[in-house]
Amino acid sequence: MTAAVEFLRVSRHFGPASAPVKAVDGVDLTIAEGSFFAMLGPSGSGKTTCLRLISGFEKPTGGTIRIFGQDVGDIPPNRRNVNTVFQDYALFPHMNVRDNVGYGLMVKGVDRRTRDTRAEEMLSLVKLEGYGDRKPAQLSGGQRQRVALARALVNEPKVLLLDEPLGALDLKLREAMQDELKALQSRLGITFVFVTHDQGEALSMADSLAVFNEGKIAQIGTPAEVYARPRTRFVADFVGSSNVLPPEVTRAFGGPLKWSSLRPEMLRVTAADGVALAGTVTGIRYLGAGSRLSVALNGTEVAALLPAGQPVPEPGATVGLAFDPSALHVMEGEG
Amino acid sequence: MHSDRASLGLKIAAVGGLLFLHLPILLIFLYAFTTEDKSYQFPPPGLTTQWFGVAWEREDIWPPLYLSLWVATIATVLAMILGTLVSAAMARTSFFGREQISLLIILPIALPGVITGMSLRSAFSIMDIPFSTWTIILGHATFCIVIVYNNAVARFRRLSGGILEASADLGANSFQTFRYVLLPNLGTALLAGGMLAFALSFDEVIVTTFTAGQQSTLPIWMLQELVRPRQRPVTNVVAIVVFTATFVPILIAYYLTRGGSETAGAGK
Repeated sequence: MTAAVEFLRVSRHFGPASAPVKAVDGVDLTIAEGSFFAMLGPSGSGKTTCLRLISGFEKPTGGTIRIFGQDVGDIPPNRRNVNTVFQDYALFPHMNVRDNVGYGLMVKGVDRRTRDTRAEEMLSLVKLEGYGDRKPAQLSGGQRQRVALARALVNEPKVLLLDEPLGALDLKLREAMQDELKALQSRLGITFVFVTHDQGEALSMADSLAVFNEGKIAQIGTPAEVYARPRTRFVADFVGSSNVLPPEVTRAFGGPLKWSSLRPEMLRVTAADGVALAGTVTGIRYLGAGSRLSVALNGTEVAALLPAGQPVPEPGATVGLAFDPSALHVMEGEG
Repeated sequence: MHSDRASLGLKIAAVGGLLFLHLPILLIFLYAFTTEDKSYQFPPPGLTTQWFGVAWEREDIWPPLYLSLWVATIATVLAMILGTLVSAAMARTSFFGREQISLLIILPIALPGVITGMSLRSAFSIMDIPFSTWTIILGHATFCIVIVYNNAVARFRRLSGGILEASADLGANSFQTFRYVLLPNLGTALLAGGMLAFALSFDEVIVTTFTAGQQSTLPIWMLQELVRPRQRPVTNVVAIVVFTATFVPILIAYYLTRGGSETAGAGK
């Protein structure tokens, strides 16, 4: 498999060299051609800067970026075969939808007839047939999102960059768009690079994902790998809010004297008598599909997911906790 | 309960205020038709249209009118070029001292005209620049730039910054981005700024007095005419011309910026 995008020790520092702000710090990354790649992290973790490094709106202060093997260090954004769906869509307010979508072709000098035909094709791809004459201001958020998508795809980019594209949509629309984006990606076979702070979105959509923390990549892998075997405490907590157990507690739970991660859904709540691990229920949060219990035990707060239909204990009650020993994941990385 | 209707007293006060502001303008129009030419006598003893003919025949009106039109045109063109460039720099970049420079740009319009006039006059004499049409144009350009800048910078702020990046992202070079994205979004604001600047320059008196030397622009000519006792209504005829020349562009500017807010995404 060819690499669509490669980062080799890429850094982007802002501010003076004496006290730089390291937005991106020595990132190594390979994005396979045709894959759906997610960059996941909290705000300020460097994921958006990485996206802007690929589109060319930021220049690296160190390292090399290659797009399909070509070093793009000196190539400005308008000459990269990469297009972006911007977070606020950035549609041209003075143009109608058709001209917005055809813009990339217009600046290349394609004649109006071809342009309009292509724009219609793109609009039907995103299920917006017949909206060509509307102005962006006359569209709903979800429709603007689709126009932005059609506009970015009209140039047939090799890599499509999406900067939190679903952030402004409501939950229902968001889920529908997630499915559609995924379907579109596998149909077009284009490499999608998707920036999000929503771990659920990243897990459900991506073929592989990179978890960013403070300008560095904390872990990179398939969603299943990252979820099941978080490398650091940060990843365990950020992706699926796992129970991060300090070395002493890990030992008490039957593991080695190291930091470990134990997913709340792997814990079974049992009766208190006759089990090795028993604690006091300190909080209950109702989630609809189940409840999340907070249990204080050995001086640590542990979260356990209680499926719906099981009896929910009272706060203050003593409960037992059981789990399959293989669910306790010992972390190798620091931080 | 909150009431959407204004009380009678407030309505009367509002109407009274508007009348106070605008009735004198009607008087200007009225005196252009009076038969009495030595003093402004009210009510006018009779009405005539002869002063329009007299004004047309008076040769001393034309040079000031041409000068005013020329000065306003050149000052506006200068202001539109420089004002746009400055607003682009101020809206799209951030640098140390940006707020202070923004204040300096706006200062000429906040500064009393006498100060601007005096400072320009002494600067011109220090630099040994003889007074000419160009010194008037420079004087006017100082505040015309601010008008264009204010209009353009407000539009820049309302533009989503992403659209310029989106244009580049889709393959446009900087000229294409300027031509197809920036200019259409900035166009009405620039035109409105230009019209206001033109109107402001056309009837400017104070700065002109300090920078004109021997020449007279139309407003200065009018000021001189009022002191003389003869053919006073001619001045009023000219006043009507000035009124039209400044009011029409301002009206157009108003409608342009109003339309602009709709295209910029105010919705249906």
